[in-house]
Amino acid sequence: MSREVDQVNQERRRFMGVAAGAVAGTAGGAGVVVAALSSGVSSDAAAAPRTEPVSDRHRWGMLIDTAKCVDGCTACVDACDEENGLNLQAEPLGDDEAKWQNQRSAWIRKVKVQDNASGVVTNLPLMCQHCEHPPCVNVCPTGASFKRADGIVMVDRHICIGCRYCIMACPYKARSFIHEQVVQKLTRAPRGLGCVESCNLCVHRIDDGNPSPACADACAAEGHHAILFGDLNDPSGPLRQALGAQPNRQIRENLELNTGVRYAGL
Amino acid sequence: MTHFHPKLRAPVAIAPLVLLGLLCLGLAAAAQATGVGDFVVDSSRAAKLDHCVEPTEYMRRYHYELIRHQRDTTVYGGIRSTKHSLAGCVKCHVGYDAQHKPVAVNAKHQFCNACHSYAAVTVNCFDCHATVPKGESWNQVTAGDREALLPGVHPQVGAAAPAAPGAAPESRDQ
Repeated sequence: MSREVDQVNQERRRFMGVAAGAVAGTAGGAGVVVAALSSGVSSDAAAAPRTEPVSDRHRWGMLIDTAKCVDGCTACVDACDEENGLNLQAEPLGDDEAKWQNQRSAWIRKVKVQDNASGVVTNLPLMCQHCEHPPCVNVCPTGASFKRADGIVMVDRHICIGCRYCIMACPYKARSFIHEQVVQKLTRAPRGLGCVESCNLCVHRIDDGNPSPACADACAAEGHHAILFGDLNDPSGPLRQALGAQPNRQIRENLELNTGVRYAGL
Repeated sequence: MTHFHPKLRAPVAIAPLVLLGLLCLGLAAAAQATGVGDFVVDSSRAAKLDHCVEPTEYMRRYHYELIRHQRDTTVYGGIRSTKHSLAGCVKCHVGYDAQHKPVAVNAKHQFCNACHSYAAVTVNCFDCHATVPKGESWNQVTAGDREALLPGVHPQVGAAAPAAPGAAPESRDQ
């Protein structure tokens, strides 16, 4: 039943996506300004640490307005690095710099795409898309890669064996592997040799009752407001309002993964 | 049968001595038992508290069960506020050096290592987890008075109020 509805929605989105693509070059910047864009906090999320297990009452997601994403700005990436201890990774002694940059764990990548026909260049941050049907979860042999009840796709590193099937399965190149022993770690972001990891929407913040990822905060602090975080299940919430007000699409929507991260102006 | 009589009597006479000896041995063993594992680091926060989140004997024997249970509760349920979190263990049991800098909780002669090296049990929590409190999320220690905050434990009258919600991002900046 829900699958059918999904398919209908996919059709609609595909149409909308094409329409959005046609206007992206000319009217991309004239997106509707949503009043609640900076808030991003669901109204019923209490600012207190969680005492009940997460449920599917919320499904966390994001809307990224690529028209507002600035070329050369790495505020979201830097904030993510700091929040999740990624800047504490040390380059192995004697390692090639290019190899290290390729191997070091990164949860967000800034991607620049160009439409060759029109020459339109689009900047966007690409991270784990928190799919409803995540391929990384499908392929995981131990069940370490899992989707939490509130839609966050995560790795249980206690049972991850580091096989990296999920890295191969992910269409978004969102996952990283920790190749070296990690000396410096943050309490909120454990990290160790031989495990896979990816964006978890700053899950520790969500659990603490402060659902607002570091990247969205940093983007807003820069004044760009390109990343809007919110609850996909809350029809009156800021995220759903923004999704309804602006043409947006999933990346690789043809895979029908129903991603939690949506892009406008793409 | 009478020739067994003196020999039978001898053990009866010795019995109190044997009992006394056993008692002494028992006391010695008990004294040793409190010595072994009594490695709470003086400079740690835990040294100032009467007992851990559970009775000491229980913690000695079952701390791993508690941590493992909490780990799944946290990873899958997102509950970080309960009292058996590893972050709470580290926060409370980490020792400090003369410069008031925290010493890794699994370093030699520190809280975890002291017992685990004695028992020859490898602990691999800290392959991934932080060994000093750094960049903590919410846990029962950082939030203030743990007695008042543990779910299921009734707040004591006059105990410190739970940290204000605004305090959570602050602790993040450590």
